[in-house]
Amino acid sequence: MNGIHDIGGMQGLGEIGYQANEPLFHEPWEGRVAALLQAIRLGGSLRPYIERIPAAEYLRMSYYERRYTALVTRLIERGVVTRAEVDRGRGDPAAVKATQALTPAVVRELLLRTPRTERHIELTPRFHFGDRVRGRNIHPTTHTRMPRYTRGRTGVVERMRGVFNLPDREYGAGETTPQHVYLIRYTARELWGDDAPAHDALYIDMWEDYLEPA
Amino acid sequence: MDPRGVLRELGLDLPEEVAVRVWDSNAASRYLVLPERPPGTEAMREAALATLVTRDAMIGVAKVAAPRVGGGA
Repeated sequence: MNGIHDIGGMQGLGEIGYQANEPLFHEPWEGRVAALLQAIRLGGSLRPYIERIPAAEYLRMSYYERRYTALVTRLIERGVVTRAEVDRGRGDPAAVKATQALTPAVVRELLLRTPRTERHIELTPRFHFGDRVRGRNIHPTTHTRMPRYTRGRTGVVERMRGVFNLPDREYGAGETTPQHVYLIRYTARELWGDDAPAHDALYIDMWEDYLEPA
Repeated sequence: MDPRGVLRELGLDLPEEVAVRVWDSNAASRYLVLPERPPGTEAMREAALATLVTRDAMIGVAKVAAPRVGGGA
């Protein structure tokens, strides 16, 4: 989706606002949201939900506001809670919940679990190390991992990453479309023009569907 | 678009001869920053070196400062 989250190359966003000795959380509620995000593992990335936040709201929201909004949307859409329950701040006594109580042992196990998304399937790769490839001119309306700054830009395959499900299909149609992922090297000049420093470069992982031979 | 400008805003001015490589962590790959060892720390052990490292060094926007003479944790 050509959303507001895809800001690579955008200008006019103001200063970063660097704070020396920044606290871990600026408000106690941010820490609670961070804990909720760890505890509520519904599977899959929260990003598609973050990207659906309307642009004006997205820009107004802080980091943890976006995550909280996305988490609530996902909980409601997956039927874990209703909007009325969220608004009231307590569960509907009439609603049947199959939620197990969270114990410290369960939390520890969840925190130590490393999500592994690589698919161990044999697929013939379309590209190989050293190949020149161009970002396709595609505009998926779903979640995608292809930032717009790579469209039409030519880079070189630097490394094979293995086989992964294409996020565009997984979070769009709900289909698992495994394909090769490649680490691509773009020169800064290819992406940002001749004023960019000659020796600077950018590396990014690209799914096969994002690329065409150059 | 302007990684050198971003680093400058965060207080790190890199000379032109240092090549900047941006890693866009858009997919499943995650990266760990290994800060450059400051000069004059050859004799320091891991625990002492760890006291020199800052958050900014671990996110790649600052260099690790050399220990002050007579200091060194």
